[in-house]
Amino acid sequence: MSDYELTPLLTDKDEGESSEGGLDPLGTEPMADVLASRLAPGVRERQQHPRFPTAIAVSLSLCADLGEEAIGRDGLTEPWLVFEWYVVQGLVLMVGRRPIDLRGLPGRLKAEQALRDNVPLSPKRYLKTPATTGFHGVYGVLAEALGIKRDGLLGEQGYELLSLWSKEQGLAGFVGTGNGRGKQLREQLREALKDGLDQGAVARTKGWAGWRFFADHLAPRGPGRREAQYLREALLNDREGFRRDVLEFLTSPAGQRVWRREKSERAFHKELQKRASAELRRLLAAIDAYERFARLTQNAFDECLYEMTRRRGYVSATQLGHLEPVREASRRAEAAVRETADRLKPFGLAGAFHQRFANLGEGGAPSQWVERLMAHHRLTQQQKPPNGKLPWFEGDERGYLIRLLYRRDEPAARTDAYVHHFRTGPLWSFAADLRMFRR
Amino acid sequence: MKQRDDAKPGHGRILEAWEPPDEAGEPLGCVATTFTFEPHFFEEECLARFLALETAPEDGAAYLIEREEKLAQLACAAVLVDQHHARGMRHLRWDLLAARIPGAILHAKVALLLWSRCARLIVASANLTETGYRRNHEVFGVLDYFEGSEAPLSVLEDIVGFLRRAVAFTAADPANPGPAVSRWNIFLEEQVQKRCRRWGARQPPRGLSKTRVFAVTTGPDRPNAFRQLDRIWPASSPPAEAFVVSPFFDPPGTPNRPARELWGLLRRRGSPTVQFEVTAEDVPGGGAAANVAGANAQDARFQLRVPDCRPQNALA
Repeated sequence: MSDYELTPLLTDKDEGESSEGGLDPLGTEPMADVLASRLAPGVRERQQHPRFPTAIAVSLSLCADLGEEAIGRDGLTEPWLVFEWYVVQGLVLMVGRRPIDLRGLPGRLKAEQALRDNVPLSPKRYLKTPATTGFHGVYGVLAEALGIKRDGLLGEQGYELLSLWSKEQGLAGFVGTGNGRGKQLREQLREALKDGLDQGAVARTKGWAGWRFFADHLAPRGPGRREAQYLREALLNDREGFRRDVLEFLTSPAGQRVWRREKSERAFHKELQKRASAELRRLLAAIDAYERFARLTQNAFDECLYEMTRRRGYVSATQLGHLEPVREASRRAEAAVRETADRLKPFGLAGAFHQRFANLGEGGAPSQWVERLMAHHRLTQQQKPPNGKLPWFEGDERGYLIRLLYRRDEPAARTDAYVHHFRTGPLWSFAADLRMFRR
Repeated sequence: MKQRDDAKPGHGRILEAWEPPDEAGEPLGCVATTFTFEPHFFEEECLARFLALETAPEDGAAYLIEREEKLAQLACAAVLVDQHHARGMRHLRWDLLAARIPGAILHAKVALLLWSRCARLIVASANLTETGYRRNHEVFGVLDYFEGSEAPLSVLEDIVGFLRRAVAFTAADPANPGPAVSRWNIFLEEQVQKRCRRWGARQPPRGLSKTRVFAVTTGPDRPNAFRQLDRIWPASSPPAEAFVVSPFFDPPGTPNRPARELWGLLRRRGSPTVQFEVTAEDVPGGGAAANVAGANAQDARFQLRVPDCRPQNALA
């Protein structure tokens, strides 16, 4: 009968596909992201320091030297990733020797741990999905929006920025054919990059003189005066969205006042709307309507999770229908869906919104509406890639039972704050780094 | 050893040990101990396997009905967790008990699973968490008790004794332990001990050529593991080799008492070896850096072995 002998075993790795999807239970995030990108193209919530595009320009320039076919010994690691390891490890290594502010440096914790363990950064030691979460991933879209990166290569603006940066940093010869300190440093970096590709890891010891380059010339919060001026102008030069409008108002005395005081994007947008062009006003109105709808449904959902946690057993739709946020949502959802769809129409998003959320806009008693909300959550989870995720609760004819992982110990926030983020935070951080206002 | 097409010799997946062997019969109950704990993992991965559910969570109501029907038939389903990792979690379908050991922690990872025709004892280094069971480099042993089994009954009895002692640390009032502790004890007494009386070998195998298994359990007012090992091992033939699967070393410079104790158990003649399995990785320029704080790892008497780069938790 037994499958086992008497001797002990070592465990095999047992990677089950995770069926948990703990984010965005109602599927409202993707449309908010589209709206935020219309407002501030290239800017993402995870971004903090506008100097990373300069690091990307350096990376693109150096990696181009190795040729398009260059690849690590594992057949997977690309030169940009090796350069990223050097940047992150170099900055972390130097932080003990000079005052560098490393807040917001992606991969910093990994590099600190690797240094503590006395091992170099490598695919095993770095971020699991660096193309998304490393600085090339986080800031790549901004580098493209600013013209620094184009089709995977150094763009025209990238070349301008690199030239200006190398001159300001006293790195003659880093760009172009001239000689100077920059040329020597570039060769030093290129060799380190090549060795890193060959070894599949950072290939320089702690004593390497080249580490200083990253702290001296690419510290995240230390752009030079002319470099900062260039990045400011590039950020303000937005022909596709409203980055300029948002940034100009944010750094104006009135904008600073409201943002410092309220730290609320709803309040900030309300003030911005008073000064905005007709087109920007339309977009802000769409964001406002979408966020009212999102807040209405999110509050109802959160309160249901709280109630299910509190009751520690099956909770019926009728019981959930008595919750105030559910009653409010069932009362207002029909109008909210209609208004949001109207506001999204000028941006070509009404159809997608309807397809996703029309079910929540059908009226009915609170108990009926909450059943639709739960069905909507199930469908949202089912549709998550790659093979769908489990819902946060179980349910049958007895009602709904929260799964342990998703218990909620606090009632829903009774607030009208936006559910999602619309880039004011990162733009404020950019403006601070680029000295666009007094701290 | 569990046979799978892709099985490496000496390796297995610990979650598979929660699945009933062929002809095990109906699930009757299970108790387990752990230091850290993830209730959703226990419920959806371990319990679901133990109950041999034919539906999965994505089957919705059918899954719920099947699971609840099978759980309702159990005499006991319970986990004893160290108090520091058991706060704020109570569940409808199974018992979660917090062990409060004065000046110590509950670090044992034991699971005792009972079906109508088989009992299974799992003693492991892995906590009942996703990381412990799926990702870490751990060690585990499985003993199956059934009619005709050669697993030593003395081990089962020792472990049942340990489980009874351990659960006593949950009760503030030993005279009135509460229903969950009663379920635990009644399950061990009425179900496990009665059913398993004739499942397994009462006598150890003759001679030293066959594998022998002993339970070594520690606790307040009990001898430490090394003292017990010393007592068990035949004095005429001390061990020549020891294997340690462990990431934890005291900081460099401090005496490595476990290593010394271990060394003390080994024979003095010949070339005794202690093999530590540790996490390590390549260092450019050659060699491998062990991800350990050193301690006696560089001692000539000790051998470092680098299995792969998974995190490790096992103590020994």
